[in-house]
Formats: sequence, structure tokens, C-alpha cells
Amino acid sequence: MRVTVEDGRLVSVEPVPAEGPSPNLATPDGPCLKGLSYVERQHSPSRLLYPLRRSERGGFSRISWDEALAEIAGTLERVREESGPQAVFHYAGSGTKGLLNGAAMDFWRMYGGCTATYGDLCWPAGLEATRLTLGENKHNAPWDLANARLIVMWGKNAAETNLHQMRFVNEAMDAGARLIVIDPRRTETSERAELLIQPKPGTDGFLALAVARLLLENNHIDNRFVENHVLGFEGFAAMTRERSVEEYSAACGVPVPHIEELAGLIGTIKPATICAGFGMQRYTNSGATMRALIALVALTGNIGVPGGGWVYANLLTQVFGGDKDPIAFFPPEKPDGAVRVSVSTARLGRDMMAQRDPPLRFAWVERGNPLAQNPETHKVREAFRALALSVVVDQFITDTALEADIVLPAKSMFEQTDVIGAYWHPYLQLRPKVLNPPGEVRPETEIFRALARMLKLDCAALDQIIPGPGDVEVRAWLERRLAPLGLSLEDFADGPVPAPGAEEVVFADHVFPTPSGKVELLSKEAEDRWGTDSLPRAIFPLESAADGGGGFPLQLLTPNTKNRIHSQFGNLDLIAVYERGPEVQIHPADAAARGLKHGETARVFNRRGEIEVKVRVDAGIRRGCVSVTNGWWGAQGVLVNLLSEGRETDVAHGAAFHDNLVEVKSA
Amino acid sequence: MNGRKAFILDQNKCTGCHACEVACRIENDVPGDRRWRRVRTFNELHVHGVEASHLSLACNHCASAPCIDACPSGAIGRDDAAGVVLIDEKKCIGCRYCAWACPYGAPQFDEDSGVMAKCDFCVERLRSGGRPACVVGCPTGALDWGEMDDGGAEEHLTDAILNGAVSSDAANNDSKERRVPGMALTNARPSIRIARLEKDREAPRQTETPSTPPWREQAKDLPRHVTLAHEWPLFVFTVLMAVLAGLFFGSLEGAPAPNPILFVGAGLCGLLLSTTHLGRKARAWRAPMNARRSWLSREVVFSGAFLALAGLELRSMAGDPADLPSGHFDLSAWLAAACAVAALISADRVYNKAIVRGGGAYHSAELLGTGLLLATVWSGAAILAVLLATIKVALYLYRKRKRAALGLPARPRATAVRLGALLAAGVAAWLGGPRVLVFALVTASEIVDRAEFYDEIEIPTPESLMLDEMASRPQAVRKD
Repeated sequence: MRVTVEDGRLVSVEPVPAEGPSPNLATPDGPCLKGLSYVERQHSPSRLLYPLRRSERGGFSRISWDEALAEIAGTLERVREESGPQAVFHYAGSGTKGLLNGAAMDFWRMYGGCTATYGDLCWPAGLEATRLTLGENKHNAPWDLANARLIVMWGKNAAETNLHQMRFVNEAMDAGARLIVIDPRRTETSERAELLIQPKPGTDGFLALAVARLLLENNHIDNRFVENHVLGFEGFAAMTRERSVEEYSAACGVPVPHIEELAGLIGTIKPATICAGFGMQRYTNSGATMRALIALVALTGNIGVPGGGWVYANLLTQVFGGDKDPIAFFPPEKPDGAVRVSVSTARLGRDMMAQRDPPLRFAWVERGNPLAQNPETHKVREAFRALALSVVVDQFITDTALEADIVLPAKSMFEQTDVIGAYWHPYLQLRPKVLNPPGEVRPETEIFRALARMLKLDCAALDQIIPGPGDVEVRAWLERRLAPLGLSLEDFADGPVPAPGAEEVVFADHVFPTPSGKVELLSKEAEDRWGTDSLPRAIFPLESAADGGGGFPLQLLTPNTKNRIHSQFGNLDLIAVYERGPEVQIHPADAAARGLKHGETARVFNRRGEIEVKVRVDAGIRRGCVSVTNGWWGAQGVLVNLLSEGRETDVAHGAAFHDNLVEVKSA
Repeated sequence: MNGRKAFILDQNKCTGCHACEVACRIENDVPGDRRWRRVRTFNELHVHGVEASHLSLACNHCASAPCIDACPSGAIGRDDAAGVVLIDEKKCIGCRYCAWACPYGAPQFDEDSGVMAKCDFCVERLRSGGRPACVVGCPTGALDWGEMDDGGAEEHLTDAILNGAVSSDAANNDSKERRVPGMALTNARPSIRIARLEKDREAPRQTETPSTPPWREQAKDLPRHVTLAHEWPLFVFTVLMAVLAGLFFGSLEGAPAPNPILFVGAGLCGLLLSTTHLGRKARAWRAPMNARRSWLSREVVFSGAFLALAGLELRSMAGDPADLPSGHFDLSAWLAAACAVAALISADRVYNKAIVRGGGAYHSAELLGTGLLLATVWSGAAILAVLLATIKVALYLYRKRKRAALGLPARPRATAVRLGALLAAGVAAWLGGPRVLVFALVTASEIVDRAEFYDEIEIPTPESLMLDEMASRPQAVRKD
């Protein structure tokens, strides 16, 4: 996107067009409402402009940077001396994914080390399933979807979470493509589909294997592709026959005719693309589920062709060295002794409190709001409250900031130059500084440099790894990172630049960087690394309504809404009017069985916690499921992760948010 | 090049993302509670087998804009050079009548400035070669704009006509089938082109079996343009005018004439009171400016004329009633009476955009009827009075029954007062009670009906039209 600044104010956000010297083929129609709302977010009166210190009587009061940094540095010195540097805990989300995000870890290494997290809240199980099967996380260019003749949106509500993909869905449909959506909810995306298949949450693997079985029975297999490029076909085929289609149907709750219809479409229409969402890889069986889904595109030879393939994550812009996701999420195989990577993101609170030798005493949180967004809010809160000092760097007083001892004001993305990648389109972008930070806001790089001086760290060495204060220094630092790729900041003068090596159609060469060099339906690594089945055999999630739920019969989904990116943007006036407030979406039959009325307040609860929300009786959800969007703030009435369990996905240390059974009762 | 500016909406591409609204709010610095563009969603609660569609509407800059006709102060006009309809906020008195007249929900009342505001098609942006902010802000390519030629070249508007934007096809079954939920059938000739959902993009077949969500509950959240709580000064004024008209007619027929000073004073107080609901009270003098087109202007003009002429007439009656030669054609008296009738008709026509569910074509609380009934009561024309009262009661009871059948509030206590007061009036008249008592009882009964009228009237909005559309879908009214 392209912004206009007048008199020190951001006044408009518009798209970079599809035509011109640096064409934007992915999002030429413009940003979504969140992108537009940066006009408010940047200048919001609730933005943090000064350091704050929790006062004795509760609440926060303004302090100077000198006071804040002196206390932080003093505590860091004392903690390092008494307990060692690993008593310091560093937690970070993704922020705007700029290269300068790395500054924090560089600082902690100079400090002597710290304790850090492994895993990721977002998408690791799907990434790992893709990596295990195809060898790499990449997909065809976004606009290539227009070439598809069959689009299966599997667990993905692109209209809300990947709005710009809808343009290409529409283009494909205008050219005659068929659209099928698989989702327990009737979503905005499913509105344009001819068929909405609504499986029981967490059972997509059963559905996929049923389809695979039918593809085999109907001889809808691309035998040439399978023979040359697929490992483990025989074993996989045999596995699919372990259950009858009727048994799969009973397991996933999708009637046989719908399974047959889906299998018929996938088997006969080419090219076909499966666009997978992130929600269904937030279960304890996600790795197996996602691998089973990918198998369908492999069996039908929909790989390496225009309009075909597996669209999950595109990491073609991860070109700046280091481990790519999801490997980057895993604890290092050889710990370096300085950074202890020992806290699971999924079990954040529990693991923070479980650290010994040394236990955690200090926490530094940036670019994240773990209290609202990580599972088990009550445990995360408890863990933060047990610390001697916690520091949160943020633009707003989030729920996590409310728990902090010191809150430092964070820069916005318009206040420091950086280079950013993406996870759907293949463009690298320069995000130039266009505004000075307001109030006393300092970029994180400056915070770390100031702390380094107070801690008397080796500042000459620091200057090598963290750029100095001026835009000139930041740009020089970025140039050094771009140079190995044959790029320079000048290349970005007109807009986005395709990442080096970006492809329109991936795997066209049929080179799969897996151990066997083939698409691995049979993955030894899955077994060795994760202890899971080497074949994607379908299993139920750990916490599943399949066995009755033990008094909590409703499966709680906590999807994203178009109005927020997780817990961000919901605090803006421009956005807030589009929310009716926190509510639980429940099927009319489930509501009637509980005597729940539309609009009344109800308790959604399980053994872990309870929230109170308005009831929305809505036929657009499968019976037996309820849904509360994630990302509400405590101040807005709901912290939805009070209900979730700190539990990892079967592979890749993701968070199994959706292994979550609840009951709903009138409040 | 100076055709009418028109928005083009493709419902197949619109996902209801609200980016157009946000872009508009940023461009025009409009807060969320008075949006110049608003996205309405049909079937939000996902009735099985019924499509969910979005209708993003701003001002349609209609060729026959009902807001222009409605505006009493002449503040709304067509800028032919720009091809748009604009509100002159310096002339607007903040009566909100344009909002009643517009079935698309375009004019918005600005509490801060006390005047109406609406989409101006970003004329400034257009002048500098740009596009409207909402069109730029649409991330799916669903919203665009173009120009319409008034010179008979509306061929390209076939879609809009089919989609129910024009009334000529209203009776046509095909057009009904293709109607856009939320789009009013009017003769406003809105400058909008809507590509309706293609058949293959309507509701998906789905795994979950049908059930009926409580979509009628959404009626509670419908925006209401007219409420008794807000419109009470108009309620008082209109009832007062009917009472004064009744008294005046009665006195022409020989009943006791009211004191002219009290009569005119009461009328002026009513007029003054009616200005209190204006956003800009100091501009109330502009209200008669659009008498050529606006029923509200006409109501003000005829009410004023009636009060003035009737006052003079009553004064001459009070001066020397014996001077009045019997059978003499009194031009000024007839002129005053004509103004009274015109004022009451105009006041009734002010509400011509409103509907009363279950109410039929004529509402028992319409002012002309009330004025005539009160005239017969005051003049002591018993047979006529009974006849009129019977008709009114019949209309009243018919409506009440219909509304109860539609699940609308029955308000039995109001009914009891309405009928009880009328009955008491009849008994009082029959027993030879004082004329003032009978008149007061009938007036009380009429007041109840009029208050109910304000409670019952609805101005159709895209939101209410969507619910009406839903009610017409067999899937939505199916019993589980």
C-alpha cells in the first residue's frame, strides 16, 4: 500500500496499482479496512507516547525514559548477577515482520543470553506438514489461482482472512471454475460456493482420506505423477482402505453423497487448487490432517501446474538467511548455551512458571499480546505476576501491558525504515520512514542501544549488529542485508519487488527438497522428529466431542474476523462500529436445547475458565459447534483464551487452540 | 460528459468487508453513527437456502430525488453540472424530512451541526481527476462508478431496472424474482447500477440440515426514523391543528366560536413548538421555502394562512355576530376553511412515505378525518358525527386485528381508552351533556389514536426491506 502524509499526519492509504514500474499484482484493488484504518491507528489518542510505570496503588503513571531504562538496566544487572542471564525471558510476536525485528535477540545475546520460546501460535503444524510432504513452503503466485478450474477452500474463510484472494477466486469463477468450501461455519467465502461441506471440527483428516479412497476406487489418480514423484503411495493407498467411506463419513459427520461429490470434483476437474486455512491445524491431530489434505493434490497430479496445487503458506520472501519457518520455530538441536529455548509458546504460562535453574525473574515482551492470545490466559497472567519485573513494549495498553511493571511506547511501522516480506504474495517491500515518532516514542533499536550503554555492553560490537538512530544508518544497515541478494534499496523506489527466486508456478520442475526428493506421503521424518505415524493416518483430536465431551459437548472455534488481526485494530473507532461486541454463535437447535434466546447473555465455560458473551443464534454453524472470534480485549469484555488449554499440536509446536470443548448456559 | 454520476455495485464481488465505508469515513471525516455509505447484509443469520448478500449504498443521486421534493427549506438540489444531488448545509433547517423520504438511507443527521449531510459523490476528488474514496477503497473490485445519460440512453441500466430499482417493473414476476434485497421499488430513478448475485453464487448447498434462525429478532435493531419520543412536538402540533380546524368549522355552522386571541395564540404556540424538533431552530423561517414541491412546506404555509384567516374571521364573528347576514357567501370564511382542509391534507401527506403495517390505505388517525369528526361534534351534527366515528372505529379495529395477527404489539390499554372515550362522548351527548365535554372526550380518543399512529408508522429502510424480503422467502418461514 501507499500512504500520503500531510503536515506530519497520515491522511490516506491507497493501493500500489497493478500497472507501473513496480506492479502490484497481488493486492491492486487496495487494502482492507484494517489497512485503511492506519490513518486512525497512527494518530490514535490512545496510543502510548511515554514510558509508564505501574504505581504502588495500581494504575500507571508517566515516567521519563531515564527512569524507565535505569530501572530496567538495574534489574537486568542484578538478575544476571544473582541468577544468570537466562532468568530473563524474551517474548515476541511477529509485528510487521521487518528485518529489524532481529535486533532484540542480538541485544540479548550481547547481554549474555536469555530464555526464549519455541513454537508459534499461528501456523506451524501446517507449515511442517507441507515441509514434510513437499519439502518447502511455497505456492503458486496469488494471481495464478485465477487459472484454477476447481477451488477447494478447505477450512479457509478467505473473504475475511485473505480478502485479496477473493479477487482471483472471482476471476476463476467468471471463467467457469467451481468453488467448494469445507468449513463447520457458513462463512462469507462459502456464500459464493456451490457446496458447503461442514465436517465436525478437527476431523478433516477423515474427510480427506475418504476422498483419497474414492479417488483410488474411481481410478482418478494421476499415475504418471504418482509413479515418478510420490513416495509411499502403496502404503498410503492401503491405509485409506482401513476404513469404509461410511466409517469415514460417521467420523467426520459429512454425509456420503457429499464426500462422493467432493471426490468426484477433485478427481475429474483439472487444474484444482486446495486453499487451506490455519484453523484446522490448531488441533492435536493437525500434522496428520494437513498431510492428508496435501496428499489429495499429489494423487491427482495437481502440483507444478498453473491453477493447481496446495496453497497454504508462501515463504518465498524468507530470503534473508537463517532457518526458514517452521524450522525456525523449533528448539535448536545444539543449544548455544546462551539462549535457552525452553518455553513452549503454546504452554506459555505453564512453561514460564516451570523454568528452573534459573527460574524466570524478568520478562521482556514486544510485538505481542500473549495474555489475550496465548492459550490459558489465567496461567499466563499468573506467570507474569510471579516475575520481579516485566516490561512490555507496545503502541497501546493491551491486556499484556496491563500486567506489566513498565510499559514502553513502541514505534509504528511508519516511523522507522525497514524491509518486509510476506506470507501469501511473493513481494519484498521497503517500508520507508515517513513520520517521526510522536511524543517520546523510540524505535526498539534505540531502546536496546540505550540499555546496552547503561549495561556497559560492547557498544562498538553492538553498532555492527544494531543500526544507529538515523534513517541514513538504518538504510545503510538494510543495504548490507540486501546486498547478498543482489538487491539494493533503490530497487524498491517504485514499490514492491518480487523476492529473488520467486516463481509463478512452484514445483514446476518437480524438484521436492524432501529426503527422498519426492512428495512424501510416507514421511520417516514425521515419525523420527515428532513420533507420529509416518503415514497421515486420521486420528481424532485429544479433546473432541466425538466421545461425548464429558459434560462439555460443544466444540469451541475461535476464528479470526475481518475486523482485526488477532487482538489488533479492534480498539479503533473506524473499526469498532462493525462489531456487535463479543458473542457466541450457536446453532438454533443447540440454542433451543439449552433454552438460550438470541441476544441474551450467556456463560461459555469449561473446567479451565468461563466467559460471558451475548448469544447469537445463527444457522450458519454446524450443530455441536459454537464460535467466538478471538482477539477481544479484557477491556472489551472477553478474553477467549481463558477457555483454551495450553497444548501443542502433534507436530511443530503449534498451539492446539481448537481442542476446546465447552458448554453454554444462560447467565 | 455531464451525465448523472452513478455508483456501480457488483454483489458477486462484494464480501461485505466495510472498506468502502471506512474509506468514506476517512475521506469525509464522518463518525460511525452517521455513515454516508453503509453496507447492509441480507440474511445475516444464515437462513438455509437463502443467499446472503451485501448492499453497499451511499446516496444514489436520483434523477427524481424524493429528498429534493421533501425538503421544505429548498436546501437540497441537483447540481446538473456535476451530475449529483447536494445538500446546502447553509440552508438546511435539520428537520430530517429528507431522511424519511429517502428509501436508501442516504441523508444523515449531524447532531453537532444540526443539519443533514450525505454523500456528495466526492465531487472535489472527481474535479481533480480522482475517483470517489469508497471506489478507491474497495479491495475486491465490487464498487465502481460511472455516468448515466439522461438523454434516453439508459439502455445500460437494464440491470438496475431488473433489479427493482425502478418501479415500472414492479408488477412483473420476473423483476420480483431478480429484486435486490434491500433495494426499494420507487419512481426515484436512482443513479445506481447493481449487478445482482448470479444464480450460481447464491446460497450453497450445505451439509447441515435446515433450521430457522430467529431472523425476525433483527427487527428490534432496525433504525427508526420516526418515533413518538422524538416527534412529540409534531404530534402535539398536528393534533392541535385538527382541533382548531374542528372548532372553526363548527363555529361556521353556528356553534360557539372560540376566542380569536386564544385560538390564534394556541395555533402559534403549536407552530412554535413544532420548530423545537429542528436541528437549526433559528432557520425555521425557511420551512415554507419549497411549497412548490414539499408537503412539509405546504403544511406550514396553509397552517399559517388558516390561523391568520380564521383569526380574522373569528374576530369579526365575535365583534358583531348579528352583522352576519344569513346565507351570505362569506369569502374570507370559506378561504380560511379551505386553508384548514389544505393544511390537514398537507400534514397527512407529510407522512406519505411512511407505512403502517396492517393499516390499509387510510389510517384512522389521519388528520383530515380527525378535523372533520371534531367539526361535526362541535357543530352538533350528531348523525354525521356518529357516521364518521363509526368509520374511524372500523378502520381502527381492522388495523388492530391485522397488526396483532402480524405479531405486532396490540396495546389493549390504548384501545380501551380510545374506544372508552368515544363511547363516553356518545353517552354524554345522548344524555345532553355539555358540548365542551363531548368535544373533549372525542379529542382525547383521537389523541390516543394519533399517538399510536406515531408509534406504528415505519419509514421503509434498506434494513426493513431486507426483512420484508426474507419474510417472502418460503425457506425463512418454514416451521422446523
